[in-house]
Amino acid sequence: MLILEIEEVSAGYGMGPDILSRVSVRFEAGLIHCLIGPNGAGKSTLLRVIAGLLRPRSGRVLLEGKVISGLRPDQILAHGICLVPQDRSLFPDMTVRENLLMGGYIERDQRQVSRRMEEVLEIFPEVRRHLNHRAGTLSGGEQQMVAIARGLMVHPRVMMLDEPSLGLAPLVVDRIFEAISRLKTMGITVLIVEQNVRKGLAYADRGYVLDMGRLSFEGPAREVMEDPRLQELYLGRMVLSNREVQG
Amino acid sequence: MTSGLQILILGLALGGVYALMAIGLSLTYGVMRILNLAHAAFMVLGAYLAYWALQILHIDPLVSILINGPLFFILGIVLYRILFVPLAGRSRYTEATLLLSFGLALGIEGIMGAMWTGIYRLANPSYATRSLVFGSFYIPEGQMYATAASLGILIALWGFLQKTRLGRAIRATMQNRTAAQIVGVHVERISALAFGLGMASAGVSGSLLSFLFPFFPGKHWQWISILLSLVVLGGMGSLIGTVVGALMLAVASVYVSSALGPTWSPATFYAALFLVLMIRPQGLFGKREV
Repeated sequence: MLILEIEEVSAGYGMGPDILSRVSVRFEAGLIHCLIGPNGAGKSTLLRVIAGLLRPRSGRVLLEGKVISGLRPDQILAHGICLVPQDRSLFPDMTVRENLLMGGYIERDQRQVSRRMEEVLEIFPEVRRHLNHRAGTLSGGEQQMVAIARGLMVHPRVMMLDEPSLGLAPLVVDRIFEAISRLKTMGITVLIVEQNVRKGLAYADRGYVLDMGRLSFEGPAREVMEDPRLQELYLGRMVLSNREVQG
Repeated sequence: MTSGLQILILGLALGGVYALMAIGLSLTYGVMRILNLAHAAFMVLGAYLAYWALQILHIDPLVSILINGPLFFILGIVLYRILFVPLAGRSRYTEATLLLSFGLALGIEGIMGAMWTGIYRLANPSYATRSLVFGSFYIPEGQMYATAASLGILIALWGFLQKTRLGRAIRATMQNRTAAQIVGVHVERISALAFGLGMASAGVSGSLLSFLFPFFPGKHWQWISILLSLVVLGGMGSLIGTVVGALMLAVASVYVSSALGPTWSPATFYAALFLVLMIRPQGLFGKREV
């Protein structure tokens, strides 16, 4: 069953050029989708468009057949789509508890929020011992866990993670991906943007390769991993950039 | 010469009022990066309203807090929507709003001058001229009420920011605007709320100003200079820093006034401003902007 459809979306920042040019992608409910591609391919931009933080210049985003592009970020969140951005975007001077409460901001009933926080802490018990610590004092991996837990506060149907492994030690990366797998067992559709291609695809069901603002190819994660076009894309780029440096 | 403890008492009492006067400036800057140069002009406007409320309607300036607060809150939200929202999304938003607030300050000064002339005013409630004496120490009665009112309002504001959903959203927006959007905060609405609160604090400070310090329409320039220097000392956009900065500079100015004479007291603020900018430009509690 399809959950998210991106139809011919073009987007960019300010007066700048299109970062995404007429991208069309479809995501299926309940799977882990991994978006890969070189720097500047438009992966993060695509997540920002879906989250409503950036308005597409043209094209539409549909959630279960209903158009959501053009809605405000808080409205899209209320539809159950949440984003964990690359910089984690925690509130550094607030405690972890307050960060989680902020995660439930769109729910006005404070008892519901407290109840939900207990549920989230049961799913991520490792967050509990940091509840009274300031978020800014946590390590990168701990912050990532809190960011995911904060996202869960809204009962999301789709969770988007932008480079969850960025800057983390390999052992910590495994813990984060293990947590992402837990999201799938909860029935949440997951979209990950990942530079760590091997790791990302290993945990994903499907892989999507973006290049120059377009969808280059897609398929089951295992097949994408083996696809010679993937090697070409990354390797080719490297050779090219080396040549540029020399020239 | 006044004793050290007496200076401390008077300084802290004064600092409590300064903290209330400056807190809105700090809040507005912290949430929206708007440096509202018209803040003190609205404060003086609030003082006029309190003054006339006493003269004509016999409403005590302390009671006029209850009028000025809501009135300036609404005025703030209306002004924000009409004047500041259209500037949103500009690449030089902070600079544009700085100019806008400067123009606003001039406009309000002009209106006040046209309506109420340039002569000095000072509200004179019964307690304004009395002093309370404790042993060898004294405190002007009006000053004590003003300080108590300021602390009460500051504590209420603190409680609102710490314990309520909307208060948390304001702090969240101060710390990370994008993150606030990501968790579903409608940041424009929160900005309007913060601007309204900032203006409300200017209005209620005006009630206190009306019987503590003589004022006339152009007086706000001196006030905004004082308020800016203590906000910068505390760290732009840090609320706790603003309170600490206010207390420190108020004590320092009372000390200078007693040691060198009252004419030197305003110089304290400018000297402090220079020192802070030289030694620790981000202020005591501020963070370096990256």
